[in-house]
Amino acid sequence: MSIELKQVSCSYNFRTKQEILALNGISMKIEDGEFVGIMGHTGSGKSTLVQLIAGLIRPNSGQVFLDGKDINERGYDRNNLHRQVGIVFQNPEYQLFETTVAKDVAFGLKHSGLRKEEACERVRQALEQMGFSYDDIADASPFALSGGEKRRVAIAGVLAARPKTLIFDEPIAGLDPEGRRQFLELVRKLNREGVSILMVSHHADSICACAERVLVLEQGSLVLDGSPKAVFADLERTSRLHIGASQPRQIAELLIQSGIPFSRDIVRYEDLLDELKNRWKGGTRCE
Amino acid sequence: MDKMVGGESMEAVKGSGISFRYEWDGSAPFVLDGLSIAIEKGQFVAILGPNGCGKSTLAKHLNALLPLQSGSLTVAGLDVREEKQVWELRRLCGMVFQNPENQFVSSVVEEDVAFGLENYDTPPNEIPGRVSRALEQVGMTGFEKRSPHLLSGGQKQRIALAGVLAMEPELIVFDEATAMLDPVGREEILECMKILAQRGKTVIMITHYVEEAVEADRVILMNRGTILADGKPQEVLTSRELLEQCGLSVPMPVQLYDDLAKLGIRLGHCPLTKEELVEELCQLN
Ligand SMILES: Nc1ncnc2c1ncn2[C@@H]1O[C@H](COP(=O)(O)OP(=O)(O)O)[C@@H](O)[C@H]1O
Ligand SMILES: Nc1ncnc2c1ncn2[C@@H]1O[C@H](COP(=O)(O)OP(=O)(O)O)[C@@H](O)[C@H]1O
Ligand SMILES: [Mg+2]
Ligand SMILES: [Mg+2]
Repeated sequence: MSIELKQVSCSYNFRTKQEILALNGISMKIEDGEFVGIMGHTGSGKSTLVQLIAGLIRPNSGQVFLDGKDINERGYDRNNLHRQVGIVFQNPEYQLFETTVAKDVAFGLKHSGLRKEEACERVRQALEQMGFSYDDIADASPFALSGGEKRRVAIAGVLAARPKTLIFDEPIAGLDPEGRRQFLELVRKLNREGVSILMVSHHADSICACAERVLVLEQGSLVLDGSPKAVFADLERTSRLHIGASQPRQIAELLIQSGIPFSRDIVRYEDLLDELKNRWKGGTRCE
Repeated sequence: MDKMVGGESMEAVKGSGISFRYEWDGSAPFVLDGLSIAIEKGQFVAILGPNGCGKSTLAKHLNALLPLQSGSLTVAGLDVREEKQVWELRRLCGMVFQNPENQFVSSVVEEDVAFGLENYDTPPNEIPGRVSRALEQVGMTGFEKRSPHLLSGGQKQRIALAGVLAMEPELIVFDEATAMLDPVGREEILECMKILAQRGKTVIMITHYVEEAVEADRVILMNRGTILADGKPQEVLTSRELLEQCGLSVPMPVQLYDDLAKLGIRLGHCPLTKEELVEELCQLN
């Protein structure tokens, strides 16, 4: 599904003394099937932006279009919107509340009209997609899990509804490398199957490894929009914007600073390894 | 035997045979499984391990947030089972958690930092000095009147840390305190840990980021409630087998060292940090 924002502004405590302008005149378009990374300083407006796209908050001015339809117009089918756009919040583990993991994952399917067996099957699949063994975890209490495990359960709850666009707000903060690897593999697979992915993250390595396009926010404005290579071309700028850079990109920069001619286009591990291989083809250490 | 100097224990943490399960029924798994650990005063130690391996459970034993079920444990010279000393224990063993938001009790920074002191019946005339020293130590002087909720993630964590430091603890445990922060915030907190370690505090950094563990003097690798390895970062963090066994990976420079070797490009030493890697690469022709 395509997503388009036209001159969207959004304030908290609108028209009060405490008004905070969280988004300021954002326009952009995301095509069906894209994998978009969203980055920016804490407070730059990332969570506000994704909640707006998921239809959870309304803009004060401007419009949000999904597949060409203004989602905030009267008569727009919001139930359909919530079925098609899944959002996994920052710290989803706080939203678990059922007595068992299986019930928690099934919660979003309650009013879906699915038959019971179909719903159960989806719960099983979603938990397995998140790396759990259904039989081991289904009857456990969500509260008895560690933070990383809770998060995976919460993500399973959104996957069970099989949305066409999936939004993740800081999904990997707190996940260990194996959890991160599994998560990224999963979102890549969903993306290959046609699901659009919007992923908010501070983790430049993950963004560079997965996203084709990166949006960077600063104080409510969209200040960069381009490929990871373009966005991370200027490291002074990325540091000012608090988005850092992937480790391969940082290593490339250090090499350049040490006087070694090296490409600034390196943002992924494979590219770094290739470039090093080309530079020192069959080379051994110079004694 | 404990190493003793002038009757004072040299050990900030000394535990042996610690086993723990959250439920007492026979089938519940051991979350800590006969774990023994000793940390000397003034050490900067990383406890590294995957999600769910028991790191937070161990941390909560250190200041008696969880009761010791078996084994023994002394922290800052106090037996964690001594109920009469529990408040002193919590003062001496400070903790910073993952989510700063959940840690604030006041909407004014200086009140928040002073909160613990007031609870401990600190003489009122001592409080302002200790608050301002704590804020200074975390580089947040000037933020006294601000609201903690309106600060950046790294700043929030530094305020939470100041609240801990105002209590003048002997050791500080950071339980994944950088996990939710952006790269700048993460750097700020790491910097605080290093400074505290330089000033002689015992610092325990709980993490699953190998890149952070590199910064410590010693790395304790935990898996499934036990300690799998314990040594210098150069020893533990270059061991692919050990790390992969518990779902972690070697730091990127180590990975690159291995992958380059497979291509016939040999570096002199296996680097742990980006800087060391670049130094090694520069030595190639
Ligand atoms: N519920 C809210 N009430 C008032 N202000 C808010 C609320 N949520 C966010 N803000 C403010 O809006 C701005 C953007 O916040 P947010 O979208 O959460 O940023 P990010 O996700 O990039 O950290 C910040 O200044 C934040 O303090
Ligand atoms: N309050 C609790 N009740 C029951 N089980 C728990 C509780 N907290 C944690 N656990 C279990 O103990 C294990 C270790 O958790 P934890 O110490 O939080 O791990 P870590 O901090 O290394 O991620 C987890 O697998 C989890 O299932
Ligand atoms: Mg946010
Ligand atoms: Mg933990």
